[in-house]
Amino acid sequence: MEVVLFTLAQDQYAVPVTQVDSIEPPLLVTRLPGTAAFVMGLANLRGTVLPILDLRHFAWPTVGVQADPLATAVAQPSSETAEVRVLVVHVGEITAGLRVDAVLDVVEVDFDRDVRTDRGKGEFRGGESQGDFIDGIVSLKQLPTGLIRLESILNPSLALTTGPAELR
Amino acid sequence: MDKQNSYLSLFIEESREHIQALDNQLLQLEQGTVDRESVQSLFRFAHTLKGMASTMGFLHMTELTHHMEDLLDALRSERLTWSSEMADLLFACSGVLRQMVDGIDAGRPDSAIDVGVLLHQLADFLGRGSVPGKPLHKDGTTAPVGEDGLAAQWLASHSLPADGQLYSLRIVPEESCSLPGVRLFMAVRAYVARCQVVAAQPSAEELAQGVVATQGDLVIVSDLSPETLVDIGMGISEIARVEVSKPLQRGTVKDTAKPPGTGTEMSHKGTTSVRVSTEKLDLLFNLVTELVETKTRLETVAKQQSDGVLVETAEQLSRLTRQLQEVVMQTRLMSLETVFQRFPRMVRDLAKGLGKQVELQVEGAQTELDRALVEELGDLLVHLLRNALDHGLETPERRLAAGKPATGVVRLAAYSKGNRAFIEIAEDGQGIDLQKVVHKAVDKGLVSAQEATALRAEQVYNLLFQPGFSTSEVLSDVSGRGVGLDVVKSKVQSLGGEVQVESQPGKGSVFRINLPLTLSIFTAMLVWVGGEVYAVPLDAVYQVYTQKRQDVHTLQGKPLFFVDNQSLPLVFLGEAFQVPNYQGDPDLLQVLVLARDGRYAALAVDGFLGQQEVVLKALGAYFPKEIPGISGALVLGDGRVALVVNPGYFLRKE
Repeated sequence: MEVVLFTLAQDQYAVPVTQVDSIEPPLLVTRLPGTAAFVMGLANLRGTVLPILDLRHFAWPTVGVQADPLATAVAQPSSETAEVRVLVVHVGEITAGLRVDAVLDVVEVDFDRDVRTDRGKGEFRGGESQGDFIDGIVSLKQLPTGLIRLESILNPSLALTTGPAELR
Repeated sequence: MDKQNSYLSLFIEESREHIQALDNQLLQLEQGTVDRESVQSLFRFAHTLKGMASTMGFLHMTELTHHMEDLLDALRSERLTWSSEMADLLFACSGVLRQMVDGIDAGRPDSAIDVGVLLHQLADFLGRGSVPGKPLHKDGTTAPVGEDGLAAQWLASHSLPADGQLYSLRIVPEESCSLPGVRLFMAVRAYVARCQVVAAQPSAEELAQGVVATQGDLVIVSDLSPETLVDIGMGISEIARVEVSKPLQRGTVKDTAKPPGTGTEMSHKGTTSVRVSTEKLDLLFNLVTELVETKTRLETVAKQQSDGVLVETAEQLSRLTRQLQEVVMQTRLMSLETVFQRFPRMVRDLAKGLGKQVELQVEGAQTELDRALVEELGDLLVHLLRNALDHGLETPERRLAAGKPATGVVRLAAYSKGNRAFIEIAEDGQGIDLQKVVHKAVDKGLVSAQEATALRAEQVYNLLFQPGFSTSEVLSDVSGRGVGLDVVKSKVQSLGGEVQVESQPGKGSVFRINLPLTLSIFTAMLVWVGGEVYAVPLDAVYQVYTQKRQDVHTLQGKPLFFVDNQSLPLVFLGEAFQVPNYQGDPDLLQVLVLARDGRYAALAVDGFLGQQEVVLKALGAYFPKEIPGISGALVLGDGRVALVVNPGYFLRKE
């Protein structure tokens, strides 16, 4: 199976090519109130309104992400963010853009041989995801690579911050 | 779409119409007097359905309708008398027919539904009533060939043909023939193949669609001999006879149709219409929405460039786009009738099942809404009606005990006001017991016991729409199944609408849905708050004010705003939407007062950016639930996304 290889800071991750719709340059993001911290907001992708999620919140839930407005980081590429891309991915009906630091390559993975699903699961448990954010670890281009489980990330039940009984 | 499919979808569509008509007629019969005419029309519906099913080769459906027809024929000829048992049986038949058509629509054969029991019951009825009675009613008034209205009508607007003779023909199928319409259709086609058919009554098209006919009249132009003409028709099986006139001349026909000189009026009057596939309409609509967006972008650019010619051209484009948009939106309008007409039957069945007596009053079925909204509304209204019957109305005994008439009234009313549509479902039942609702909510952990004591009635009603809330003590067969009022609420909100409840103990409740008349395109007022832009639907904007911050009164520390002698809690939009680093202007407040349907809200913003035509975009599958205060998004002229404020979230009755 082919995967798209990308980075978040020093770490390398991958998602299956079949779940990637496109790779976009940084988009202008509009903040959406009442949503979880990792929901950066909404962007206009060729006339369609697309939710943009910040993967860094899943990668380091305990460390926390810098407090600076992420929307600005995506909106105005600086020398540090020149490589920033939005990975448009889908799980069934749900489509969203994932903000990543850089997209590297598309590579082939042999799941039977290369993937060790028992390793890394506990260590990479995403604080904001209910299940594991990583399906397993595989060595790609001589670097340990986390295989992202998109089902844990594109999970609508995590999108809003408001409690169940919203009383005015 | 291939031919077979287009016939099939036509069949499905028209079968549904006929089954609906059958239901309506049955309901009328059940409630009113049984007259010959109503029975006749029942018979006709069954007969037409049979013809259609048979033409399409749905044998089970044909058989069922055939037996229904037999029963109705017996009723028509007074060999049987009307009874409520018979009504139930016929209702059951029409229910099965509906299932069959739904099944066919879903690609299942009509044989998937067993009709054996119904056929037995129908046969039982006939057996019971098979007392030799009066003979079948017969229509013996056959006008002599050649002097009937059809040839006269044709001659009134046409001149005699130069080539060939003009003949009038009557084709009569055998009386035992089970599908005269089909036979006639085949006969008409045989004539079309051999000579020039200039008029047909009924037309081949009508016959193909299952119009009931016991004979067919044709006007043809042909060089063939009258004997040959007869043979063409007799070549079709089950045709009893073909009558052919002498060659017709002007004057040999009775000019019964029209006085001379008005011949041209024979053509259709009024507006003409064609069927257009909904796919094309949807495509047209999508293109128009894109055009509106592009137009808005162009307007923005034109203003920035401050080029006179460009601005003028953009304005002209804007006017044209608006006109085009209006026309396209109108093509999408559809009356609620299609949704409403299935309710009388549903309510009747539900009432029977619940052991309640109900009178359903329907008003404003002609109210028109965007087709997409009408389609979505069906299921929502079904749920609310079920809710009204199950939870709202009491049993006849309890009603009598409470000094009310045994029969409860459920009123389904639709009307439009401005550019919004309102749909009310009201009943004169027991009303909502606030205490009971609050207890339940506390039990379910939706509110704490402490919070519960401070709730206003309106807030208590809101609890009904919380996920997982159900006040029914016994999980009934009728409502408590899966979908709750929370689903109704989120669905209505996704359509840009709201649901409200009003209730009076002992007197009943009203559920009121309000929706935009048209989907997607609306005029919005753009406001800015701490660097963010929000769009507010203009129809909800009542008034805008500028007020000095120091003049804002507070009560218990909460800011208030006064409009028309009403005090409204002043909501700072920047705070409500947690705008980062929100300060607002230190001196002046811009206040937007919203009003809709007798409810108000006052929102403080930083400034107004003017009005704009906008296209509402859904937030997509990632946000299945309502985002508090937000109903959707739109793309601004500069390509950025702005959020659309949901006025319903802020409005309240005071």
